[in-house]
Amino acid sequence: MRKKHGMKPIKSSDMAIDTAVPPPAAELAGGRRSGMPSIRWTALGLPAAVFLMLVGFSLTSPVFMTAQNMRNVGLQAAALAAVSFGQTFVVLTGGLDLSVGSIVALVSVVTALIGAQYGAVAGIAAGIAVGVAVGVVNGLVVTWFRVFPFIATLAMMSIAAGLALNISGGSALGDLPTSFSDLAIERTAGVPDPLLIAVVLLVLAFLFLRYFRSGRHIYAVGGNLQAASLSGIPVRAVVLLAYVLCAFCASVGSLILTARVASGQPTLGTSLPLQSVAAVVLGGVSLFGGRGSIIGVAFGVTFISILANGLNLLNVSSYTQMMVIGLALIVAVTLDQRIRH
Amino acid sequence: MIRKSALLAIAACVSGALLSSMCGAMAQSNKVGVAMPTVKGPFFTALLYGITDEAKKVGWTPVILDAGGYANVDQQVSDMQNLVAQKVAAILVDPSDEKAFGGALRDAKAAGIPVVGSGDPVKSANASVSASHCNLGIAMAEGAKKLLPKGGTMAALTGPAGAFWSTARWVCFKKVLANSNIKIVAEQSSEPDAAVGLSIATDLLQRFPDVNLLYGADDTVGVGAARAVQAAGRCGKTLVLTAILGETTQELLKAGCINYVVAQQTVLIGRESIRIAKQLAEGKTPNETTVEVPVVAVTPESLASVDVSTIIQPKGWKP
Repeated sequence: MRKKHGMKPIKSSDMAIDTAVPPPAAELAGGRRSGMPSIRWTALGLPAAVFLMLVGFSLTSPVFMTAQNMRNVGLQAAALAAVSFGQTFVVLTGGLDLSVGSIVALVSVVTALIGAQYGAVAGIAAGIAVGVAVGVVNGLVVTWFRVFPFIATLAMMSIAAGLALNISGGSALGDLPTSFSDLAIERTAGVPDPLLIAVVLLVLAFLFLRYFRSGRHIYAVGGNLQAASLSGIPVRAVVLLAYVLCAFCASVGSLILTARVASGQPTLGTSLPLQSVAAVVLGGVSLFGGRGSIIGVAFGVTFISILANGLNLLNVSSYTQMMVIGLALIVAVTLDQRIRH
Repeated sequence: MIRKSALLAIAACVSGALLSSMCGAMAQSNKVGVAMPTVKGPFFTALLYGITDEAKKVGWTPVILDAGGYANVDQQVSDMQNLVAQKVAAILVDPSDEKAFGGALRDAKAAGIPVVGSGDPVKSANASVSASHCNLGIAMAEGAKKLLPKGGTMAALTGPAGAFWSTARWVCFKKVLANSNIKIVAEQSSEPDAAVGLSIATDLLQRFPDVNLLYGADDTVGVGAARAVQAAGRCGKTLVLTAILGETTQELLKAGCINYVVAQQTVLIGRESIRIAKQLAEGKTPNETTVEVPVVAVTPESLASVDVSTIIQPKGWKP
């Protein structure tokens, strides 16, 4: 432990600076951006893996590389993409949001309930408002009450899931306006609209993280909390913002899924917490925070979606698919650790 | 760096498309798609036995996709869309919630693939083969009255929240008992899992040690309830009523820890689904498009004389 004269002792654990990553101050001054090592992995490793999978599945399944199947993949990936982009904000701060699946369920039932009575626009607005409110609560519990993110969001996962079941009475809510449920089947230039929504979200997230001060602050806080605080960054506000953005993106994912199933489902999105973390980690975002690229996460989503689709077409059982995705996650985290050190 | 990855992705799509066209995109006309919410549990084991055995007889290979649980509605919708992309000859589906399948059914219709609801009625499908869950609930209520002719108290493990079949059974069950002298003191939903059923039933017995009857929506939670009763040494004192006649249920019936089972003829449902799907795939019109398969009440006394070949798969068969 180093000690500077006249100052509070600085523990080495407080200054967990990865020497391969420039400190946040340099980054704010317009220096080299954080996340370069992870970009190397995602620029080559993951796209290469996606390429190999595309070729491999094309060889083994004659229906894989067809327009219909690719539309299916895009449609199925859209909700996961939205949730994963949101998860990225939180993971970049060094946190985790396990409540994203329950947010999806809660937003789904609220959207259906309000939409059935007051129309699609009101339903969407109400759903997003509720989702964002959950994000605010998550952020406040983590920042002001200083509850560890894993615990805070695990608790919220249970609360939001129970709330969704209570509101819906445990049953699916139908009578959604057709203008809303048609969103899932509409296409623009042959591309399913949900996929376009996910792409728009990706572009907005990319621009925010790269060119907006708050976006760079998210990296700074995740990279070195103490240095960020000493630099004058409002750490609590930044972390709160990350959870709010995560919940907003989960709400968008919920709207996509709700449109696809044309009903408010109180148990929607149960697999999304694990899948979104898998996509984020596969995409090269460090679970320790401060490093990673949203483009990498997009590749992570692509990897998972194509893998699941290809294995389905090959009639591989869902149990084996679970094993494969788990294995891919271990490989990705191991590579992430190697790059860090 | 980013440009390299974009080029890689484009190259992958182009080469994949070329390879795919070289391999040929033939219709999978000798395959029948089966989209199930889960393949766990005695009901689905029996259903899949009926489907796979009958499919072999008609020259079809089943492609079975499992969504991994009743909660994964969107996954089951995706599974069905994947089957449409595979251009299977027909699709059998037991939807976790029919409301969610409008889009997938439209896709199948547009592709000319007939869809048969198998295990649950599906109004927008080309045909459905199922037992009526409401009739099942009614039969269970009659069973409850037979088990408690003088009335009593009961607690319920109602099955997965939001699943059509469990809701229909429970609603119709309660309607029949509404004016009876059987009082429902507790009800709890859960995924159809024996371990979860055991845990919930144990807690219910803790709360209501003298409860006369436990209701299990199907025999996954029903078996759990029976095990809890067995562990508490209350077989024959706290009676257990459930649906679906799996292998473990039969054992517990013989042991007296399950007292009344309303069995679906699940193997027969699977077989009929394939027969109707085959007719539809060949462009023929089936005699009936909504087939309701009757249920069978089974007690420890009648078990030996019941023909189980339409109810349950051969011993040891697994999907």
